[in-house]
Amino acid sequence: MDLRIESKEVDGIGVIVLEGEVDVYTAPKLKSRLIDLVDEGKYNIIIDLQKVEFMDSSGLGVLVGGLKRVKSHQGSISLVVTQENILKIFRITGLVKVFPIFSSEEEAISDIKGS
Amino acid sequence: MNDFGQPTSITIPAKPEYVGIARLVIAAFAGLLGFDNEAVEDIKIAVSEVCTSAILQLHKEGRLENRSVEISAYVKNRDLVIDVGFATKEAASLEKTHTQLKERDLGMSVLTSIMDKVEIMKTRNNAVILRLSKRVPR
Repeated sequence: MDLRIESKEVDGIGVIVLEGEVDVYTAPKLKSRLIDLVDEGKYNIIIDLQKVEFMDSSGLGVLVGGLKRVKSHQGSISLVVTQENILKIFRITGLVKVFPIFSSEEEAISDIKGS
Repeated sequence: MNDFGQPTSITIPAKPEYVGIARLVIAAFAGLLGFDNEAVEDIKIAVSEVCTSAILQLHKEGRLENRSVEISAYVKNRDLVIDVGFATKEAASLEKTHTQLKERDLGMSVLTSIMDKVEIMKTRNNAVILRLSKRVPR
């Protein structure tokens, strides 16, 4: 019941890979990492959620907060989600219209490069 | 429906790191009742949302030490009922719980989408109960 967070950079794009559960306990770790990336000047960020087993609105709230932060620098947050249970919570809350969602990191990277 | 109607409950410290334990216990109970995997995942999210609301409200009251949240699951009239209760000394806690849930807009929209019924009530001894219901599959 923990969240592992890895960060990397691909062609100047910040990529965060999450593994585990995102809830009221672990969401602050994600928030902190997002803030660090923005402070480092990375405004186009991809968050890979493929290894996330559970996420509730605490996690969604952090993603929305992160989006506001990067948008103030004309940046973006793209998500990589392939699991139906995680996609469902984005559909329920209407956040599928807020975040570009891709099925692989490569797709998300090429979308950012193309825009 | 399987014959697993006996109530199951767990009391957790009112701290974020314990929410995961509560959702696992209630998810296991829902699995025994015959909910499919998708519904069990929904129930885990719902338990997480209400436990989070309870803990955040207690946190706002500033007294998290030695405070606890009790989660009970049972079957009533073919519904799985999940009660998340916590004691409070503040008279206005019912209103505060409503406000707390509304402030967490995303959480509330998730809750109302995946559960059949969401209620907030207060007992005579000033405990607040967040009650979730979902029809048990036949």
